[in-house]
Amino acid sequence: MQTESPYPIFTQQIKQLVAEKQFTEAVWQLTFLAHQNLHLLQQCIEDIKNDSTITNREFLLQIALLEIEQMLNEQKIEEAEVVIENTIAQCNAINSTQTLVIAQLQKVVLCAFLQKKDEAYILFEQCEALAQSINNVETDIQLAVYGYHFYSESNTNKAGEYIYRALDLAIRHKHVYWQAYSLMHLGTLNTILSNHNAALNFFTESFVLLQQLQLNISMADNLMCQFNIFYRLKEFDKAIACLNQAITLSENCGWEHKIAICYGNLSTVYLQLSKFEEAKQAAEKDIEISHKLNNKFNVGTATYRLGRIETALGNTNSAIQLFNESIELRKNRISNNQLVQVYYYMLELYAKSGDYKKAFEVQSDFIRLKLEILNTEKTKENEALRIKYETEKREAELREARLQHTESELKALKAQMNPHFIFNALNSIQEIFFLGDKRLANKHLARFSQLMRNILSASGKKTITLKEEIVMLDEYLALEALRFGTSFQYNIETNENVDEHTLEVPPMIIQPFVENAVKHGLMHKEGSKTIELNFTFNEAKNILEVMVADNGIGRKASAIINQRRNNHNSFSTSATQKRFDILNQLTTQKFSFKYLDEDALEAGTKVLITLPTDN
Amino acid sequence: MIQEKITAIIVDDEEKARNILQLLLDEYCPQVSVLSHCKNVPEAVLAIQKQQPQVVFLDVDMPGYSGFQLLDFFETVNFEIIFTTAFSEYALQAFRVSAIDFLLKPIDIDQLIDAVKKTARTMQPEVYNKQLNLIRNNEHNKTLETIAISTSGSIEFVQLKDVIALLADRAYTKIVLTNGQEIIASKNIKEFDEMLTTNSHFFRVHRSSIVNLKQVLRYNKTEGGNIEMKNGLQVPLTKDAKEDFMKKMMQ
Repeated sequence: MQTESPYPIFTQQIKQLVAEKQFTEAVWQLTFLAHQNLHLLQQCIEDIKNDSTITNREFLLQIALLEIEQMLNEQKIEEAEVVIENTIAQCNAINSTQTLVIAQLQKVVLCAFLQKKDEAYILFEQCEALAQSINNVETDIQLAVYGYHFYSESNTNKAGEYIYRALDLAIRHKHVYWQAYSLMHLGTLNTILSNHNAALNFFTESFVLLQQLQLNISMADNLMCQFNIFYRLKEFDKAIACLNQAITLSENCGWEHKIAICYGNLSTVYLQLSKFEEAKQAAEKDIEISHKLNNKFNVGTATYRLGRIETALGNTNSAIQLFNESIELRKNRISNNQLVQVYYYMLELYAKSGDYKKAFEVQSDFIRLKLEILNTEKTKENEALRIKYETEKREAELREARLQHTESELKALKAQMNPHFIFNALNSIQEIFFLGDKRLANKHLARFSQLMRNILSASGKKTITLKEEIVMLDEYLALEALRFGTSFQYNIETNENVDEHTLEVPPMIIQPFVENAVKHGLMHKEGSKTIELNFTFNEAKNILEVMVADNGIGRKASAIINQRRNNHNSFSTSATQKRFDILNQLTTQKFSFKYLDEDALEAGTKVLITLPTDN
Repeated sequence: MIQEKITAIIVDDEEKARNILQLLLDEYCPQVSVLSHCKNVPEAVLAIQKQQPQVVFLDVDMPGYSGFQLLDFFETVNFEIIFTTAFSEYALQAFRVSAIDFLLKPIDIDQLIDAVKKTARTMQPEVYNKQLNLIRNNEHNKTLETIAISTSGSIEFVQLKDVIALLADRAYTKIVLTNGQEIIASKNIKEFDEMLTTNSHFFRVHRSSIVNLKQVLRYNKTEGGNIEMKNGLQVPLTKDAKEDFMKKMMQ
């Protein structure tokens, strides 16, 4: 829309500003011009550089920064490298720290392009120190924005800190330009974090500001970010609309490399939609423009897309050729992720074409690279997880502090009980191995390990469902039944109103009573041995009542036997009593048990356990 | 009738574990023909690409690369995986969110026979790959957004943001969605509670209900306190959970 905008007026205006030594305003006008017409900007910069009357070195450096930005935008890496080094040297020569910071930040971007991560990191730290020493708002904002870019891939927490700082500064100092940028990057950050709605809101907010400022190219960038979200959400119509709008804006301003990128993305969408003809056209357009701009890397990426299309169309040989070309074109700068993608497709293509030797070669490269990627990803994820974990942990620690003491006691008790249980079950199972029936042995082994798993899993939890507790009891009793043979029978009954799937109990709370019934009641009894378990829910009091009854020798006789054997094994009972005491400290409701067999000493044991439940 | 062979490979870092599985298959699942044994993920990737097995017996807990990381090597999986694990809460979460079956070690013969039988049935590759994707996401610590739910006869994929509440129905759980749909899942509510601990939007307000805090409309003090959801659904709030609930709503 601005193509016929009056170039002379712009240059005159800018020259006027330069003459009046209003350099900051002049730079701003040039920045604005970049968004209207790239070609005019380039002419204007040439004019300024050729004008021998302009001698202010600071201003000329600012112009250099603008140039570098263009180069980085167009990914003219080698050129940018030379100009950046030169600019940094000059900044040092005239002691201009403010300009130096920005030039160094641009070098950080360059290093990231060239995958020199360590160097980038050191440089960025230097920039932060420099920026602190000069205390300039504009510099601080730019630093924060670059900081966001720098961390956006590796550490989203840190990236978030930087971009919020940028936004905060921009709003406080009424820098609408940077406000719009920060909002846009908040959008990209939320895209990375998969908060798609939030991201879209940020983009829209930013777009409105950019529109007011007439920053056409940033509007195009914004639309490309939005495209990214719609593409992820598989809303392809909207994705394509964003790209087309971005293409129009970029065309109006003469930003060809941006048009190329849009066509590249368009090609990807069409490929996804299996519209191969359209995909091919878009990719070829990308190649045409990138070729003209002498951007080999983008030509390589577009060639890769063509390879994908040919693969989809089943043209094996041309696909292989395109993939090979795409690697060659992107040599030196291709990332592992991109390379592994190419290998992935080539692998199948070679296998399909029957060239197994090549397939094997690609395969080993593919696996080597993939493992490398997985390793780095793992480190990154672990780092992110650690940060998240640490904040959560700190909160949790505070919350749990007062309960910790009693709960650790509780855990220790549970741990004490488990070995008893485990070895008893193991005793029972031992016999099966001598039956010589592989299948039966396997059955009971699986059963035993299932029981162990359940106990292990349960012992880490505060509560488990009644169902889980009952399953454990059933498994335990089934293993005991194995030991006693046909003389032993057990029965677990739950009343109609007991919802075993939603009622929760402390893990292994009933088991010790059952174990007691077996050990002390039934072990020494001749003839039939039975255990009855009955679960009822007392709705009025909101409590679960469990009756454990056996037809054993009774508690008194058992106590006499145990005394005689000098094996006063009432461990379970005392440990259980202690556990009930601790549980009662933790809740307002009361856990309790009582023996109902005081008078009928000869006729087995009966114990009623009362467990409060949540209402 | 000659039964068609099912080709398979066994992946496990422990030699004994591979051998016992082979023995069990030979004796109880003779229709399975084991093509090779692999002791780690890279070996398995090579073997799969070379031999194109129909079934992969895959141990989850291996040093270096876990069994789940095998998935990273395949964009779409066109073989069926029978996961085996000696139990860890971590692996369990992956299976929970994806509703994928697995075998526990030591392996129960009946369960093995069942699992092999199931592979013979035609699986729906698209649904299966979607489920595997949920395992991948879990493996890469991505935020839990979607869960697979096994209902009687099918697998449903539910976006957590569309869930209003989960209500206990004995051994089942009713999942109420924003579009008015209700899904009956064949899992009890405790399992969902454990599955959703990583998602801060979900909160167990009562032993029989979990709510999506983002779908809460208001808290009514009457009748001992209940929560009204945006769709009008009312669920009781337990006294013990009230303080935590209020705190979470403030955030």
